[in-house]
Amino acid sequence: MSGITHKQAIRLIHRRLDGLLNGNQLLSLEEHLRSCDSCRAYAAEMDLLPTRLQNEFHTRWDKKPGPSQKVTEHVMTKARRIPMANRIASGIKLFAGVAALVALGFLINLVFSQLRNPSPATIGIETAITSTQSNSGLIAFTSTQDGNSDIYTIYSDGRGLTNLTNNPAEDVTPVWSPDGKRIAFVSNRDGNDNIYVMNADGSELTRLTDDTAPDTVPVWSPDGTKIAYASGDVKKNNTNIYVMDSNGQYRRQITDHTPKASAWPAAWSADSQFVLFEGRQQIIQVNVNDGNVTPITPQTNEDILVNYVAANDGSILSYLTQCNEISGGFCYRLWLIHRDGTQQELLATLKTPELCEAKQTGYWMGAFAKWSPDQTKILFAFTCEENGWLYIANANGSDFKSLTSYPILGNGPQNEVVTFDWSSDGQSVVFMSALDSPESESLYTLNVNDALQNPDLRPIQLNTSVSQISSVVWQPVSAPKLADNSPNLIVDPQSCRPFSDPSFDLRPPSQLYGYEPIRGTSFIDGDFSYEFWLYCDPSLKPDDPNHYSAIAGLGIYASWQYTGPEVKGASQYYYEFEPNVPLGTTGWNGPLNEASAGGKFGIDISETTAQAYLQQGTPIQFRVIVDSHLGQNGATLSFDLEPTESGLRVADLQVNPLNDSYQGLIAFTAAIENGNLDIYTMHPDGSGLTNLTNNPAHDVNPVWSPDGKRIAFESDRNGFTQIFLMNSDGSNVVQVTDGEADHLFGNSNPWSPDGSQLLFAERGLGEEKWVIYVIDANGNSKIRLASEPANYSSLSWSPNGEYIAFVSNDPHNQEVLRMNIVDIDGKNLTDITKLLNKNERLDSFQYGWSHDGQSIFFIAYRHIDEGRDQWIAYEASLDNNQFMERAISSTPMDSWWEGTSFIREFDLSTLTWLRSNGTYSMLKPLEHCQSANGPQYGFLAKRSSNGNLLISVNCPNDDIWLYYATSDGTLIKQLLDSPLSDEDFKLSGLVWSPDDKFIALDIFSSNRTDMYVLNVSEALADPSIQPLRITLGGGAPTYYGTPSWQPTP
Amino acid sequence: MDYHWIELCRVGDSSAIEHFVQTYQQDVYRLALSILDDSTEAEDATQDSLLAALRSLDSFRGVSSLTTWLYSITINICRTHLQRRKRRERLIKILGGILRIYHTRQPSVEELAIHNESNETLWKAIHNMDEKHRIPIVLRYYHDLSVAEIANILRIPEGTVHSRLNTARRLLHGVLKEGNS
Repeated sequence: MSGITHKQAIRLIHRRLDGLLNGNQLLSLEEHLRSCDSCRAYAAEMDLLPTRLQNEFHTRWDKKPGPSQKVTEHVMTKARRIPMANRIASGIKLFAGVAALVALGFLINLVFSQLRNPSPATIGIETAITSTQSNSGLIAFTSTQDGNSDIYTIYSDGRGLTNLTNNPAEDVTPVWSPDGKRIAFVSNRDGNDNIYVMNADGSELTRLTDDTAPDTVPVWSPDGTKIAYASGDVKKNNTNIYVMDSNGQYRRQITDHTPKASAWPAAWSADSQFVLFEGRQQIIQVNVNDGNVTPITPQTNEDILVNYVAANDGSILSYLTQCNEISGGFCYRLWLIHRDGTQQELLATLKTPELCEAKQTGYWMGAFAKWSPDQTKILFAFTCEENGWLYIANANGSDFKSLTSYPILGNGPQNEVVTFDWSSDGQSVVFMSALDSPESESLYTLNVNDALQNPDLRPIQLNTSVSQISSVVWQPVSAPKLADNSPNLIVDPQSCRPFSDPSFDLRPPSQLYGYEPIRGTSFIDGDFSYEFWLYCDPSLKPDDPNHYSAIAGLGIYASWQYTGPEVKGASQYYYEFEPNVPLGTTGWNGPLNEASAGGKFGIDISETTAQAYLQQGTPIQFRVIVDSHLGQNGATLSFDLEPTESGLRVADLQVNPLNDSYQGLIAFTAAIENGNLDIYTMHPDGSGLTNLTNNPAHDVNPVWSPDGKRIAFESDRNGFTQIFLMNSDGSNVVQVTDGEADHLFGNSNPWSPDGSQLLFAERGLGEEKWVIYVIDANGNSKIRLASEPANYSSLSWSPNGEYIAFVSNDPHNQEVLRMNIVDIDGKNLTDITKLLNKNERLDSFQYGWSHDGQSIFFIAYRHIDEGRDQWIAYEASLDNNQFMERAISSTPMDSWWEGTSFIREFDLSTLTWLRSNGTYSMLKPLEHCQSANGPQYGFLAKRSSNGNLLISVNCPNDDIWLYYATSDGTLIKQLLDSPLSDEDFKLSGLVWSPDDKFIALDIFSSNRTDMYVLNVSEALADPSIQPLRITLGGGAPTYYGTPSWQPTP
Repeated sequence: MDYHWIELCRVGDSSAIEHFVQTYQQDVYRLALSILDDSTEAEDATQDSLLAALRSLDSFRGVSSLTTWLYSITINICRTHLQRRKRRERLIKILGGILRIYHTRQPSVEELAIHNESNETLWKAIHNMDEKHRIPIVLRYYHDLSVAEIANILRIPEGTVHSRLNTARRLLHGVLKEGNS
């Protein structure tokens, strides 16, 4: 006999199906099966099951075609813009940016209809105390963002993330004092864990305890005069509860447990006379004055005590236990009990079978509860194996339900840890979640009442990439009060009139377009947010495409007066353009005190910024928000708002022609009208905008023919994406490809050097892979070049028109790239990277041809051993498929051009031109970046036809700096004396003009896209010359991109 | 360092991004289709997944393979789609009851062909399985992934994967036996 039981045999049969048996187990199983008919039959049936499942799945899904071409187009259009947009701080903004093209039509209708029909409430100057006051105050938490645990605070609207402790020690467990002014926490900065206290801004740090035993778990008494804490060795389960005055005086032990019976404080009674703690599954109270200990709840071995809280008057406790039941899902029981131990009442049994199923692995489950500050509601956080939910119930256990229709806690690296808190007004909750990114947690807030009305409501993400968040606690604050003597704010609906007169160039604001000052607004105490709106309607001059009118700037002063005791981190003002895009912050964060009892701060929205957010001929709204954090000290802040000298300006702007203009046109893809993607042309000075295609289909990716007379483009007007040609004025449209297949040339130039043929990739209906073809420009003689199943990119013609090169995946390892060359008749397809050594790989999609087309240059990566890598520039001769090593580098080589290696450190700290004679030149492209410690930089380097480089660096603060370098690096020059700069500015494309004098820049932000043209030769002579914006900077859903310069004779 | 070209995606190299999309979109789509069993939704999920991956390339640390990482993202997005679908189905059910709305769709020729070749009992059993069990089964027997790979993708212990596969196989075995008898 095999020595295993039937049950064991069944288990081994299943393990065998998953390939989890070792040799001995396999032998035992086989031996058992030989002697056991029923097990053998079972094993045979189970062995058959995978085949049947595989057949079933393949039958159902293999016959379905791959993703349609529209998906590919959408992803690629948006994806090209994503990597640099990674640096956009807000995921929501990012989504708005990349989602623009998807929702073009919808958004245009929605946005335009809203802007054209503003609600009365948005016209003129509006004032309101916003609902954000309901979740005002700071949020404190522990995070390891800066390498070790520190205490941080952030305002509940997501601004002002501050590391309060900033100490190499472990600073953990922040707890707000009841008045919200102080934070107690635990730190080991002086050797072992002790209790410390500091102000809300981190100042006045004081050590309260200095025991040799660890002191942890500080809990403030409700009257704020005392702090209870645990002292003792937690690891040895030997702690006792101590109480001290909140200044650290009169420390005394109030429990006296024998070893192996730890006690730590969990709550105070409302009268601050008793500390409650848990011992042996009981809630116990201890009198802080005499140490008298009284059990409150009966001892139970059934349920597990989760947590508990005393009601406001301290006479009644409610507490939560987890049912100790193995089957039937897990549940919780909500109890009430009087503090004298009488009148225990089971209010509710909260079953959550639909939430986390009973059979999930237990170690990822958890439940935590917190009563709202007014103790009318209980919030539950349930973590399941793969996600987590916030549930809410009334304090009597009724109306138990999920706050959201989706698992709000998401799954993330710390899924098992739940940390959350109520705002002091009980309106909102803050919690940690990995909702938007499985890889990192963030803090989120959610308005509870709004969520109860709309379970689909998404929470507001406060900060991103803050790691290892724990101990989240919301600052107690009371609601701000409007001063009794504060007059009603003046609302002047005529203050910014609809603009209709095109005859003015620049107007003094106060005369025609100014607005009345807002005076005498006062607030007492608390945090508040005060806002007003301006609404204006500039117009495009309809008859002159080179002129348009814009809101050119807005300036206001905020004058303020303050009375009251000193408070830190006082006020700031920030301003937004509709739709809620914050533009900046101004104002002042110094202390408010008698010495600084009044002041004046200006807000100036610059002309450039205002233009950037202008939609042609549509109204625009400004919102100015004044935020203040007064604390609770009986202070009064009053302020006036009035126009600055610049006030509200309306400008008449003219698009300036370039001094030395390029004679050809620029063709590009744009969505200008109704969100529809069409091919347009314009002159490089921004004039003569013409829609060439004007078709409801997606017409994209225009590329000029070598003679500049025809434009090739992609269009899905006939269902599948096909390649079309048209004249430069949009006439004579000819469909080149056909059939039930999609056709793309993507980033590549499809035209043969003589303009007679086109190169493209095709994917037939139901096919997964692309196949490369060339076709005569008249649609005849389609030749298949590469047919093996792989993906292709970076297609190019050799300069002599004899070869095609392309990069593909290795079919056996799709992360490995291959470089292929094929004759234009489809013969002699050669993977030249096969000749690389075993430890070498093609490193880049970039490669270059020799002028005669007989050689190709590319960069390979060579792995030598751990920590030792090399990059090699190879020249492959097409005559004999021989490699020649042209240059070698121990740092990443970006490209190689006629004897000069262009070497780029991954961190972009240095660019080096290493010449074949051993001399070199260097550029430190980040030296002008303001935020040199930012997480990432954007980088583009584009060679002109003669090998010269235009290099762009997109700094973390969104500045874009441009550099020019000759191909050998002997001349390296910064092009602009100031950066291109705007919020979220990202450069996504650089395209040289055929004469190598101009370059088109494709720039986008989360809200808009634009094209710019720079006369490089002029900019080299005069660094004050800035690129000319040739598009009108429409916000989403307007889009401009994929520029192509018309070749000129 | 075969992932070097991923670095190029990170710094915005458009050719690298194009290549990334072309390289992975089929696999992502097949995975999404196998979880959602709806080509339109699978297309949406493919789009969402690739964009999400490109957005979070910074968080890819190369601990798992890129495919595993991408599959994890795709499965998370598919789960979101499944949840949306459940909510939508609930809504349709409620509306159907109130407004007497019934939506009947004729199967396409292609679907009829699949239907004829399919084992309806087995499919129904798979279809009715909860996603906790269905997804490992699909990953194991359609995508041909090992228990370790599935564990990596779903971020659960290998033992849990095996246990879920076991439960699912027993259930399917039972259904098939019942169907045969």
